[in-house]
Amino acid sequence: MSCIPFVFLAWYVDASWFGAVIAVSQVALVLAVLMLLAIWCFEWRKKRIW
Amino acid sequence: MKVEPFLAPGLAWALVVLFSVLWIALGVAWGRKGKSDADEYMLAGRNIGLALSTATLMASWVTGNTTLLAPEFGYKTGLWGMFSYALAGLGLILFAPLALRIKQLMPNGRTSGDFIRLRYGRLAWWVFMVITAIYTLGFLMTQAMGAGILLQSLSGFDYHVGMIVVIGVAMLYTLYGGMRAVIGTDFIQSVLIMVLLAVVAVLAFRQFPAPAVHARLINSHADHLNLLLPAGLLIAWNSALFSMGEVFHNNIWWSRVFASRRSVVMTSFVLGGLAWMSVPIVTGSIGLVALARGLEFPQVNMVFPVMAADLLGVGGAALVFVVVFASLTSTLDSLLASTADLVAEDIYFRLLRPQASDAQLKQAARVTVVGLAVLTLLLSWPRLDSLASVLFFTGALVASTVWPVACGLYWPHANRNAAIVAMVSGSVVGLSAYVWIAPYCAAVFSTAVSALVMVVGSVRWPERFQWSLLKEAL
Repeated sequence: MSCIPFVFLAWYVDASWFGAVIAVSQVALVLAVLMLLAIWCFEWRKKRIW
Repeated sequence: MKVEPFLAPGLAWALVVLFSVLWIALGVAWGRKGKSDADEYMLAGRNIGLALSTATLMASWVTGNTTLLAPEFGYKTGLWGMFSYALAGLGLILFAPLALRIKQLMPNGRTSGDFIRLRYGRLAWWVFMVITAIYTLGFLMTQAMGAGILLQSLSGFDYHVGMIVVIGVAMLYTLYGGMRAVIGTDFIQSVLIMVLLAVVAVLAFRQFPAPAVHARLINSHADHLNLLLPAGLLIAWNSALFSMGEVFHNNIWWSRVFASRRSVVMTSFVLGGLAWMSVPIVTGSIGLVALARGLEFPQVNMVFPVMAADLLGVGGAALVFVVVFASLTSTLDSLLASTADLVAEDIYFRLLRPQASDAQLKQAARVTVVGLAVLTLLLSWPRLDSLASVLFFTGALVASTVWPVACGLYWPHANRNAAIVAMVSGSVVGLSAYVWIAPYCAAVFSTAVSALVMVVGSVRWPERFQWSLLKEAL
């Protein structure tokens, strides 16, 4: 990130960090779906859904 | 750019019928499971596992606003807008330890109103119920109006027809299936919402890669990439505190605590909150793509649907339509079910007819589901386009409940009069800040004043509360 002195209250995200934010958020969303489905499968096999 | 319906009414109706039939059929089928008593209807048998518990928190917290207001925040204020919105997930995460504590203290509890009445007495309960009534009606109205406005914008439905369809579908499966139907459909709805959002976001950034978006923004809207935007920092705090107020007081979340298995309740709130936080960042990033492309919108809350249709054609519009329909029904069903529980348990049973049988309590909850749906329709019939202001307004009220609830659960010295004054003074100061300073600082002032009053009042006049009263009196 390129950092301008704090007193100016500005801290601009550079391209690599911006790309990382976008990628991480999308991966997190996909992982959340996979996590839910995995837990559901586990609980379904153990008959612990309800 | 003129916003016109971009999904053919025939296709839109086909999607509505398909998903309406699916939700209602599943809701009715799940509603036949288990016993037929009031606990089963209101709390799905109190034994929900981790998958359903996490998914229902996710789905209930993903409202029409999450899919439409977060892109608007990204478009208008940039990264801080997205992050501020995402901080609303903190409400669920911070409630996690309280959820476990509630489950331990009140294994047979039914509502948040039960807790306030037993912990702080009837006067505090009245104050709490007024706050929760205003918030819940505001929340129901924003979702109902959002349904009418969105379906009209997306597919040309008449405003009232769209509203009736969404409320009607949510009401029908909630009425016949109770909480089990709500939680079961929430699982499918949450998976559907997350998968479709991921598809739209990935395809959008494949067509317009992140480095290109960044390059355009740094040249034309550099402030949108500024992580120390002063207003952004204040909005972020407000968003986090507002969400804490919403979650800590509202029976949507308390009913999930009582419905879930004790061993999963804390984990589900943490996982639900973390999973939810990715949604506004993903949808908000679509707003940044729109800004980088230089698109202008007469209705900024339509950034996401317009972008999806623009980038992905009819398929994109259909995906957004399904996401919005699932978001609205999953939130409305939770609101209808948990508010009906609150009215049936706290007002009908505890206040009006303590001698009512289990069957009568269940019937009261069912009648309330229908009554609330009709009331919401009537209140939302005249269309208002400024919904965000309604939400910020209620933020001043609900934020005042955070400390009375948290202190009441952990601190035996928490004083009942301090709790009452904290909720009243926090609400008054928060509303004053809303009017005289800015809407987005209302929750900050409300929480601060409420905390001060609660702590000072309880230290000065400590109570000796017996935790066993929460178990025995139920």
